[in-house]
Amino acid sequence: MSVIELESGEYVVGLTRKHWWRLFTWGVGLGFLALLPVVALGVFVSFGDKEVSDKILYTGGFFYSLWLLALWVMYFVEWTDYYLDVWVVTNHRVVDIDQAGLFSRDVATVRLEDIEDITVEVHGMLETFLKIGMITIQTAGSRNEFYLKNANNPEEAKQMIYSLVTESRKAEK
Amino acid sequence: MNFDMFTNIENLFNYVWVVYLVFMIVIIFIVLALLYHWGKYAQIKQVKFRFTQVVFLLGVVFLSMLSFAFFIKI
Repeated sequence: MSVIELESGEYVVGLTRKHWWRLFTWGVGLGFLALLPVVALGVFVSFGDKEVSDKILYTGGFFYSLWLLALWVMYFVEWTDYYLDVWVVTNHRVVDIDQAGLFSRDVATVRLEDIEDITVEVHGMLETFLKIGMITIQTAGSRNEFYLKNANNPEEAKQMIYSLVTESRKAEK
Repeated sequence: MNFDMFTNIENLFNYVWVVYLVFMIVIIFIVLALLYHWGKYAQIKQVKFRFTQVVFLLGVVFLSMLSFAFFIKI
């Protein structure tokens, strides 16, 4: 753990991330963009009146490999956004890490005893089948709302946090 | 479609190394930024995460070498 310093007796219970569906659609979109120049070249060649020279082939290959490299890096920038945008649930608190691009981060913490309510919203057929939804934590603190859009299995996350809150309240009594 | 247009603008290709250089500098900057983030902010080191890092770097190295191979052929 490099960002979150755990307190004594604290341990990580689970992580809640965004759903992989967004990453998948992003990958499909980039895959389409990767194939686009190949299709364009095919059309270009089929309508051309001369054979493709080596020079054109190498030049096309050069720019195409740069294009693929750019798409490859773009995919992993998006993957990083997905991977580092996470809720870390410990037995003491929930840490909301909001990664927005490469150089923007927002880290907020809510202690379990400050959690007042947890709500889950799932809208749509695809979202229902793939278990994608928005999970919101209402708190008593100054920042009174934490939310994670497009969360993976928000109901399970809610149950996990809710059982920790219940245990924490029992321990307080 | 006339392929002769390529010969007409052939002089432009004398400067393609400038585009290549700038592009690669940007790519290297982004790759270093990603590695920095993965090293600094990864919350829990996971096997899957390491695998993803290796796949990413292999892809970058392969595509860079491919582009360089085409570049020296131009």
